Amino acid sequence: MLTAVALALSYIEAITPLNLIIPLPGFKLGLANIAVMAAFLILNPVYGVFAALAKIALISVMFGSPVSFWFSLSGGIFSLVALFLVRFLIKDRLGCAGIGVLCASAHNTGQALAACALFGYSVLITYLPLMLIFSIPTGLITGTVYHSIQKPFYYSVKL
Amino acid sequence: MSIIADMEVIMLENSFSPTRTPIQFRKRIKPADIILICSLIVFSITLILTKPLLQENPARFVITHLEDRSYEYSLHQNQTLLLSNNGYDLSVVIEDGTVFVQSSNCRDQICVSSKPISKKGEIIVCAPAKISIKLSGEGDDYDAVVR
Repeated sequence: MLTAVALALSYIEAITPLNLIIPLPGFKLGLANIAVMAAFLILNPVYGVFAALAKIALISVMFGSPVSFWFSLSGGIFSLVALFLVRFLIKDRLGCAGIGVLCASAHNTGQALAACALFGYSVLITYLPLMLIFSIPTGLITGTVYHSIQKPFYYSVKL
Repeated sequence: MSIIADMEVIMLENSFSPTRTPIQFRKRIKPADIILICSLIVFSITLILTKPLLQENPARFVITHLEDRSYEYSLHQNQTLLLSNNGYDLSVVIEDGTVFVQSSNCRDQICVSSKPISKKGEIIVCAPAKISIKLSGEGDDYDAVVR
């Protein structure tokens, strides 16, 4: 479990905070989600939940503000729910890319809802479609990386 | 591409093992993925297209501007206004959330023939009288929120 958390943190520190130049406010690459997915789908859902929550708490303490904590938290909860759906309901009908997209869009939807709780419902109409559209490429990136990583990770853990 | 061949072999080996194997190795992309992505795109495009309809911008005040002075009236109160400026008299009616010029003694009668206005930002003008009638909402509207 600790290795999953460490992985999540190292991925986040590498690239995600640096992309403030182009995208929307509150939008990030979500590379940390790769580690959460790996922990959740390969190890054990419980480890995944712990890893996600620990990552959110630590990142918001180290890098973010109280506002970003709530955004990350709501996005993280939505993305964990999506992972639960994949693991227990959808199981095998969705490929890796689809899992990445589902998690990314769930995360961004959670963030949009947090924004609407903080700023009022009017921003939701403008914010949500853009977030969903941008969640598609980031979800594809996350899912593809997860696909490349799932086998080595599995073997490194089982052996 | 030997990675893919490896995966097929391993999945095959796993299926022969006596214990039930957990679902672990997934393919990169499947038909359901495409459906998911397309439905996301369709959903967000639908939201973008219906955005102007869903946003409510109610007008609440009628602002009449007469050359050097302005008056403000509530749009929701039915009333008849008599505005005089520059030698011309206008009779403006506010009724059921719409505003129109009932009568005027200007020559061209453009203001009278103007359609009734009801939305924020709409305007009726009588040029000879130098009178303009404008509808405005609660206050400033935000186009985007920047944090």
